[in-house]
Amino acid sequence: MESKSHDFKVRSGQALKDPFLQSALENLSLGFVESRRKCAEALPEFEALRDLGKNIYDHTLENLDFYLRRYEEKVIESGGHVHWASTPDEACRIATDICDQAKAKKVIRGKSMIGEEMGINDALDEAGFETTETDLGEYILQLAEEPPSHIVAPAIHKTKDEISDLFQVYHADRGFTERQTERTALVQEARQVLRESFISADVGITGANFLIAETGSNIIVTNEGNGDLTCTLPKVHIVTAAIDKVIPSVEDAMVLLRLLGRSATGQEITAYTTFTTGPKRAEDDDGPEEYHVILLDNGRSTMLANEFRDMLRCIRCGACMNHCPVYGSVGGHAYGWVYPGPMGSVLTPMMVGLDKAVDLPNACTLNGRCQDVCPVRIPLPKLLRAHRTWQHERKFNSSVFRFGLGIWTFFARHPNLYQFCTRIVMSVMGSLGRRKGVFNRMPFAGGWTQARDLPTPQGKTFQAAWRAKQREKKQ
Amino acid sequence: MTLAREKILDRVALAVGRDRIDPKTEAALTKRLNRIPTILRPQWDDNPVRRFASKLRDVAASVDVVDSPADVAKSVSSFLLENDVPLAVAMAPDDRLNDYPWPEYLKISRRNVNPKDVTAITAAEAGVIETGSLVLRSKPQSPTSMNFLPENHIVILLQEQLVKNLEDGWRCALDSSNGVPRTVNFITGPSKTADIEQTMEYGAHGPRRLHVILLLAT
Ligand code: SF4
Repeated sequence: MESKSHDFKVRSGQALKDPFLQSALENLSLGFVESRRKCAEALPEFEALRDLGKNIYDHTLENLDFYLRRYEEKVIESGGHVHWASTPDEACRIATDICDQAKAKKVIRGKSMIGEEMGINDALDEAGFETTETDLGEYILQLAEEPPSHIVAPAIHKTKDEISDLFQVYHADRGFTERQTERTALVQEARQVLRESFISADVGITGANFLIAETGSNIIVTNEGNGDLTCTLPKVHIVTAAIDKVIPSVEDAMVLLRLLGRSATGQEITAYTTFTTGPKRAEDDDGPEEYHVILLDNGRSTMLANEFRDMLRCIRCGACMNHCPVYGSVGGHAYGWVYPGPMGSVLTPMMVGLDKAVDLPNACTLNGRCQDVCPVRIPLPKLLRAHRTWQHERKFNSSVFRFGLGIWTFFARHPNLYQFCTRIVMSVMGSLGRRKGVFNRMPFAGGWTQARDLPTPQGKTFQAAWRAKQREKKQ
Repeated sequence: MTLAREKILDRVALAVGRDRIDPKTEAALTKRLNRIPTILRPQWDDNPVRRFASKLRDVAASVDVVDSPADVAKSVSSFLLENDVPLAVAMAPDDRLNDYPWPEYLKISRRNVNPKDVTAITAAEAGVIETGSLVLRSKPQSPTSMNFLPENHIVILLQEQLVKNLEDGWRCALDSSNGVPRTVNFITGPSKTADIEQTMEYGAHGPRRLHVILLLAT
């Protein structure tokens, strides 16, 4: 998917003016945040499990060479194939080659963020395959030709009315001519339409929540069951996954599964948690004849070597965005690429280029709620600060910003001059604004005073007040 | 693509700070893979049957706890009648399902499902008390399509198949002779989606109804 992350400011401005999006985001924060809290509180072991989850990943990443090789061995042992790709383009080419070799016409997909990262739908379309998304949210977005706006609930920005319109247009040739307006009827209509796609598909492509080195299995969690139909009915199953999805053993997987559902949607476990290992066995009555795994790097091995290694623990639960006040105000599309919210602001610059996503690491108040809820304790604010430092060193941030920061640095290095100047500014501001007590206009701060008033300074500067207080204490 | 493989593995090796893994590290890591660790698992003290059933009911499954094979058959019939579902089922060709007194009016096909089947009956490998999950595995007697294609899924489980944690459930799905099966499903409730305006709807792609019959030990 092409990145539009450089447009963050414009897109967030638009999002703030979209009333439906604003109410959807409010529901999201009420719903997911509340259920996560309840679910976490109901499990006394939750905090200890978070530590354990973090440790499992730290151990895995320290030994990723071993676990990747072991995983590959086990997949081959169970009759599957492993393909490696450094870039999304390479990964897409491998996928289309497999489809070609299978003489496929129709391909179905189970929702995966890695698929979005690869831009696999476009690649399959270009190669002439008829591709259908099967996760209901992703399917709606495929019809609307829009990217997801949340990693767990991709279509939260769509209204029921918009969905009714889309279904009416696209399902007419399948015999559904009536415009449905009830939620249940819409879900049932999609079920029937997609059922045909499931049954006639030649290849099913899914992501993986985890890959297990011990057994060569992949794990998929869903609530709809679309992932399961995708990997059971077609004769070829392709798993697309990043190299950081590998974990050591089934025991480790269970720890992480306990964290994933609770952190994502406040569920102890999703309706379907499925372990898939290799193609169907000779005696089995169903299941695919071929099983392929495409392992994508896309910058992760670089992150493994630098200060962003912590980010590779991410299990894509979405809790950080559900709890983020910036995401909660502007939604996922403002971020302009596959991954939104705090995790996206860390990942996107690493994947699309530091200079192409300059605003993202700065669209953060450093309030730390993301880190507080991250199940694997990723220090997101620290990583965002690291991005800011990188940007500054490489001069990616705007000249106005650098100029302002330059002035600040000068004064911070000359405290006496700083105190002298603040005293003067304060007394001038104090006498100008004394009557009303607030300023509702301020040069250079229009963005701030448009929506809020700036209070008039009352009394002395902080430093002067502090000194006076210290003197009082001593007496 | 072998080139990509070498490149990626080289970069990873560089990042973790070693060219190759020495035999001692290799042995230690292999040991970690093979151990049965005594790691943290959720604990509780409720009655196992009650907890298992209530966990499943919490996620909108229907559960009948019965104490005779005749009641298992009865539970199937009343589930079908109550939900106004045809009295015809695809039943997994699993010997464990042979010994119930199925009523004559129930049309039973002992085979995998086809897309026209409305209801499937399968036998589980285990029930996980921790989460209320049913464990099913792929094998000729239990094809995976049965768990996902029909509108209604009925699962029959014995009390002695209840296990504590997810890890125990996994172990029950393993086959001592063949090792890991192609598919192991942990199923916890019917299929659902909240993708339209964040409101829950059942029967997205998989079964709209999940009916679990738990036969108590005598
Ligand atoms: S960074 Fe943490 S909270 Fe955010 S999606 Fe990843 S695991 Fe979840």
